[in-house]
Amino acid sequence: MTKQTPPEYDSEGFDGAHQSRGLSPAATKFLERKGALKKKAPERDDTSDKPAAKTERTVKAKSSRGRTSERDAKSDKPAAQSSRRNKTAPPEQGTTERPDDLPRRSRKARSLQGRHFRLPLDVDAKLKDLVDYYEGTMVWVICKLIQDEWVRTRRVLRREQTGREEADAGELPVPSQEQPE
Amino acid sequence: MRGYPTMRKLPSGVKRVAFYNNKGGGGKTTLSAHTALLAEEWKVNTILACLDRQGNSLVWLSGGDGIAKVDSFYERSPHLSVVYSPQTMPDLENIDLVLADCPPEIEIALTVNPTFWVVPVHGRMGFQGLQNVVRDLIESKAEVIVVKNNVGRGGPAVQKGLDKALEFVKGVTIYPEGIPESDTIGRAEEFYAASWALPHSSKSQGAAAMKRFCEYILKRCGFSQPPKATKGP
Repeated sequence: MTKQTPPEYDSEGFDGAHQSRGLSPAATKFLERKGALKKKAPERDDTSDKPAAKTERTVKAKSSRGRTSERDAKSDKPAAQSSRRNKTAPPEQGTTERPDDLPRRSRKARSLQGRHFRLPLDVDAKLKDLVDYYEGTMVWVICKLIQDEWVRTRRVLRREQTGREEADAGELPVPSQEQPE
Repeated sequence: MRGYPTMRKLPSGVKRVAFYNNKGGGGKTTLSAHTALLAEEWKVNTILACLDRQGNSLVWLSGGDGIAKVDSFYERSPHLSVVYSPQTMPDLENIDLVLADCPPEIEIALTVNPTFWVVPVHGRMGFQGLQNVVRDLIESKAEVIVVKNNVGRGGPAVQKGLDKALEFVKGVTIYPEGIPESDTIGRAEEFYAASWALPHSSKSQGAAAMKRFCEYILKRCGFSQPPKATKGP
């Protein structure tokens, strides 16, 4: 049983009123300690050796073609420093990339995210719900919906076709929508 | 479909109950706090996630604890903790029951992905708040339990109008009893306690009705009251 009178009102306000969205660091630690917080998948380390090696190879390949100007000689700078210029630089021959295109993403990243379309915001939100619900990807959900609709439509078409053929053969009359008066 | 996994629901043993209405002041925090307190009495491992920026659930269940207001969480007992996570549902696991006190924003409420929605409704605007979002809630595939709150406030005409309107809402479960207007329930937040634990509450119909409602929710989630410890001879 509680006390007979309630405690006095607190005039200090609530610190969390201006907290950013989501859990505070202290609450996150508490839940982790309790084992109640689902662990997130480890994020990919973008600063791994792979891209650096690739850049090195690219530089080597470029240098093997030989430099013809002072500007080419400056291209030995690290990728991070020259990346901004590279984005605006004209594309190399043999590629379809245009200077005004959005930066390309790797094929793997594209296949994972798989968003080559834009939908109205409300439909997009529902699509995300379905993705979360079925633990799939957006492409999978859309494929599933199209497949189901295709099967349903094919069934209707086949039923209509069968009915028409039977009517032609005189076995069964075509079921009409109108009721006899 | 070849090459694709079969349709399936998210595997999860965690029961989640979201308290939500599109209208504020309908009783979401009161119902969620009371359900959490009864779950604690029943020794169900529970976390109440306070998604509403007001943080009233945290303040209520922490008893106004100053450190809780800074750290944004409070471990009330081994069975009940409350975390303040404004506008974002934390991804919780290894717990029996998660209660979410949602703000009146459907985008945030839908992220809870609950087992049950509990929608407290009172009066014309409360009903309107339900109507605004009922389709979204039903589409989420979780059962929608509508609770008539503050029954009796506004007079019999208000209640009659609400009952009549609720008859036309399809696809939801109406909690049959409702929770009456009660000073005892109103006093519960003053004491940071459950209404049935307040002084002189044993004869309160409101407190008893509130307890029955919380029992109903917990039983719907598959929990049962632990047997009382009997004293030896």
